[in-house]
Amino acid sequence: MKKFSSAPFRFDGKKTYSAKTMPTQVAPFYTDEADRGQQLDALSTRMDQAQNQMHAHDKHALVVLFQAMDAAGKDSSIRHVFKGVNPSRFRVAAFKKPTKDDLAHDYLWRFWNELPERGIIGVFNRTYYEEVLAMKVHPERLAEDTCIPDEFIANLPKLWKERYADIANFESYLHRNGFRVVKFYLHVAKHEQGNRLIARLKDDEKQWKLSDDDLEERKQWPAYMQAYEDAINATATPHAPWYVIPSDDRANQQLIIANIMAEVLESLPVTFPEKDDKEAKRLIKEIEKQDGK
Amino acid sequence: MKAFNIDAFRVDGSGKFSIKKAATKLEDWYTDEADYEAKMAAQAAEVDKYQTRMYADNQYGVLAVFQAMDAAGKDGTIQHVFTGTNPLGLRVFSFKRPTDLELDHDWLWRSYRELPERGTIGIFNRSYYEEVLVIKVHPEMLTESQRIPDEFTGDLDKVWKQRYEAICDMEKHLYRNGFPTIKFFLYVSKKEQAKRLAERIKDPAKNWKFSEQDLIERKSWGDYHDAYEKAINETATKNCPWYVVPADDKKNMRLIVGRILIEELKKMPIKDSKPDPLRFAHLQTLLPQLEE
Repeated sequence: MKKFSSAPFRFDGKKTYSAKTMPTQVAPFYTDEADRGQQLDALSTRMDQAQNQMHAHDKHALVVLFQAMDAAGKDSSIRHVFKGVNPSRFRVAAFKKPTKDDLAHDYLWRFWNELPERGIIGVFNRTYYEEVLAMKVHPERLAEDTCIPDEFIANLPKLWKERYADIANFESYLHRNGFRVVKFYLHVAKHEQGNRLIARLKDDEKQWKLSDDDLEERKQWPAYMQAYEDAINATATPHAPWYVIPSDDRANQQLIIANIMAEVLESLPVTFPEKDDKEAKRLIKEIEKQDGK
Repeated sequence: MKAFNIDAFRVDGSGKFSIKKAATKLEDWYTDEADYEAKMAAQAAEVDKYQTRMYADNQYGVLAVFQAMDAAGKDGTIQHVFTGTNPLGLRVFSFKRPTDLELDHDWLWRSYRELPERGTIGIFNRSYYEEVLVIKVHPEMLTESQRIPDEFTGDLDKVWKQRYEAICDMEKHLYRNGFPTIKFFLYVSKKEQAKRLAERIKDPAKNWKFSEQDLIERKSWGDYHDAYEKAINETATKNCPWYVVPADDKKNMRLIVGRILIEELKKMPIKDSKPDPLRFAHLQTLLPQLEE
């Protein structure tokens, strides 16, 4: 079994991402179910400890983005990777179809509202990248569903280029304020997605997860793959890298994500703030005085 | 070892709650560390099960309120009881000192904005109850920081009475919209609190949790007790009960809170999700598309 390294999955602008050559499955980082469970638990503990330090230090936060095609394992990854993290310092925002209020603003507005505070891990389940993914696959929605003035949507190639720049600028700005942006794209094969959608159709307990839209979007698979490739290559930077996760094996997918999360958290330059001993003695005396000792 | 009976901790308006008679410590609900760990894991799985049921049903949500004196174990309890619950269906909100923007509004405004959505559990670490606790102990805040007009702060007894009512009205409204409120008061003794504050002072990894304000508030211990007793009695109802949980033993407290939560989730009128037969038939027609 290979030792884990995040390098093959990391895209930070130095190498080009290609949807065709990137595997949707790699050799497992676990030997069996028990081993996988143990590894996830150990990673959970590492994440929780590093998160504790980040919270005490109170200057940094993580903005963790999850993008993927339907049924690639966004929900289950978030659930399993973060289940050991202190829920008080962890928050998931799931972005669905924008509301009227959202559309009355610029396209980044609704995401600003959900950014985590310092000390917190904030997960975005779907993100502003939909603005250069679903929107790019269905550009007619720009005119039909949004209120962007005509003069800004006349030249589509220019529009996407500008959106990539908007997003990259937004992420650099966040980084310089202590907010690390970590981006996961869960890369699943079309036939594996088919299997999972069939499982949802057949399973009483999973049916609520499925919408007819999922099948409609599936018809646009190649257009989506191209849009992901373009978006990732245009926005991968050393300070806000993309991680492309082979997702056909859910167990492996979760282990890879957890390893990367632990690595990112532990790389933050944080320490526990210290108080001096003299001050501690004075405070303890004060408590004893209050209790009449 | 006694069996769990959550009724022992429940205050729902049917009897009067006396803080003097309430226990801060009880017989252990666990035999040893291993037993505690096993019980916590089993409970976490149960919480997750009922929470998932609620999430799929998507009609109900739960607001769980945690109130306590400093160092009673709010943070740790929330962490340990809810670790293992699907983070997609859970949101913790910690209320700190109100911001300028929040003070520009009425006192329920900031809590309203953080209410849970259907299908999720929203946890308030501290809550709008501080408005009849810390504010009652320091009533000068009403005019100084909250800027409530003078005509509404002249008669303090009336202020608190109206605030209890406003809270009950909001919780009733939420209940009738599918959001029951469960309220926890983690009850710690003054002596145990001293021990925990001293630990925070001595341990560099816990220093950040300590603020000198804790020591100042500690001087008003008696006033806080009176305020808690009154607030609990005034706002405990059958549909939105308080649970007063002994907090001197952290492990015991976590087991009790977890059990209460499970019982409350369990009794919600949610059926296991059964697909609509028409929709089921429609979905089956889509299968050939995927199987090609």
